[in-house]
Amino acid sequence: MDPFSSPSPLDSSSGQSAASAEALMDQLKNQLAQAYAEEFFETIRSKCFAKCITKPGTSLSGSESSCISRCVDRYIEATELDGQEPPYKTASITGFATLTLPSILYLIACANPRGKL
Amino acid sequence: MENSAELQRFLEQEKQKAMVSEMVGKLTSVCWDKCITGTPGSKFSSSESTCLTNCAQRYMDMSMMIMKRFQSMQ
Repeated sequence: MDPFSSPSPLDSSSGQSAASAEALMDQLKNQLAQAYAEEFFETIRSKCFAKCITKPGTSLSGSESSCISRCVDRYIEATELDGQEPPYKTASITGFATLTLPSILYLIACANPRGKL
Repeated sequence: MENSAELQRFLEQEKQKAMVSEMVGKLTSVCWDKCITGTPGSKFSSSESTCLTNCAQRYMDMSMMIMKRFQSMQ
């Protein structure tokens, strides 16, 4: 969901209705969930590339593939050790981290009509 | 105005959650780099798990220490 193309429920000059606030919250929740999932994907991708693909060949070897599988599992485990629910269960990870945390906090600030968080 | 308060609460909550998530993500990342020195195995060795746990706690201790230092310098 592109925050810049879909109309903000706060745009209407008649102010917020219950439905608009609800819609905004849902939209934000979805975007946040998506952003967390993308960030997690990117982190794992970069860690496991570093660990497992030491000399890129003409295809992924069997040992590289099994290293990658183990690496993904271990990183997810490490995330759980730190008391965090690994955000990989979101469907539709695109592999492009379009929203980073600063952008998310900016969006939250923009969505807040009173200007104070 | 009822909705505005609810939205405020929601936004504040999400902001907190985002901050926690970011901290934990960063911590997991640096501790992985520090503790998983070789190729990932099919499970963590006991030294790897110990390292990961210690690392997380020391990272938090260190963050607190640096913040206090900054505060004392203001």
